[in-house]
Amino acid sequence: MSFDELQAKWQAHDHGMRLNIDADLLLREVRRNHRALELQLWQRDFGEVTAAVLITGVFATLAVLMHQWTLLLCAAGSLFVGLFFVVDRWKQRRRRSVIENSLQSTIDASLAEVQHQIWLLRNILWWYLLPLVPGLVTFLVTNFWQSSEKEIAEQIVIAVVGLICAAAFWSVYRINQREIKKSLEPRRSELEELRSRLGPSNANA
Amino acid sequence: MTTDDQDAQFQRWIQNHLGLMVKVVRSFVDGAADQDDLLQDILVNLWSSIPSFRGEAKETTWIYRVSIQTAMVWRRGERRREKHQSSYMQEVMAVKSHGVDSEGGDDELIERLYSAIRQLPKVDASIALLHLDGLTYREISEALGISENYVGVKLSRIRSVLTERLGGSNH
Repeated sequence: MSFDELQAKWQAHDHGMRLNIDADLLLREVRRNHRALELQLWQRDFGEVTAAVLITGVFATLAVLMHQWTLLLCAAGSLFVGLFFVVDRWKQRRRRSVIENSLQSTIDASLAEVQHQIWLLRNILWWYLLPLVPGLVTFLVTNFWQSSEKEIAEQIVIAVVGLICAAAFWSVYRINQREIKKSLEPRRSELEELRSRLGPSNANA
Repeated sequence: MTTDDQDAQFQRWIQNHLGLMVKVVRSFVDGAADQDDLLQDILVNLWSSIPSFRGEAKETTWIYRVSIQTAMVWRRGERRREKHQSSYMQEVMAVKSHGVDSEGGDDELIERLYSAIRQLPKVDASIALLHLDGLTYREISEALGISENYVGVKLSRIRSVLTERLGGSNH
């Protein structure tokens, strides 16, 4: 069978076109899905900011109750992370558009989004982990030296807490770097390949 | 544009062109769950795109453009949805995929053709679909935002590949 015959059969085929659609029902479903997606994004942002605010509150409360003013540095670090989330999401949302004028711009927009995700995860040390470090280190070191005259057991507890914190930070860092390799870099390659397949010039389109 | 106008336009497009979106879905992904997910994304994007539609392009070109752009960057499982949200769309997709109204006994051939299209790179799959649907080089170029020359270059190879995969000759 030639391609023209295939094309003729394709065009003659019904493809289920004559199915009677309940457009009202479908519209309601689409609007509900649209709201659900918006809500999902909002919940994600709200969750991240709430967590940062709560952690800030916990550190600040502990600082006051325990008279451990070094914990205020931890609170400041958490607050910085929360603010960073808010500003980053806000900037990204402003850039997000539903559909672009050409396929190339849609792919470019997706690519930019993936590249931003890679940038965020690759630099997680600087904007997520390090802001918390000065407060934690100051808190642990201060308590370690203050306890030196009392008991060795207290020093051991502080050292263990410090090690647990370091292990947790290292795990967060490694998990995020693995995510880049496992998921984001293949996605970026896929989009780059897609873009390269669009041809050398789109000028007259 | 008011929300009522947007809804009315959407409903009209659904009545007249849902089959076109289903064809895009079937040309890009296999499997009921993925097809349902992609159709949902296309419909949501189409509804959201209506205020941007100024009538400069033909309605079908616009719908193809939105559907193909969505399908092109769509990724399996990227968005989590609750099961109940897609009930009606699942029904639509299932019925359309099985082509209840089809006539002429070409179902198997068409299914093989969909399968052959899905094996092409995504850009080629889009060009193949639009060409099979009878769009001109210019319309394909407008829908995809690529040059007409490039469409021509791609098509000669796509025609050969599809014909070969379906066991025919490209005359």
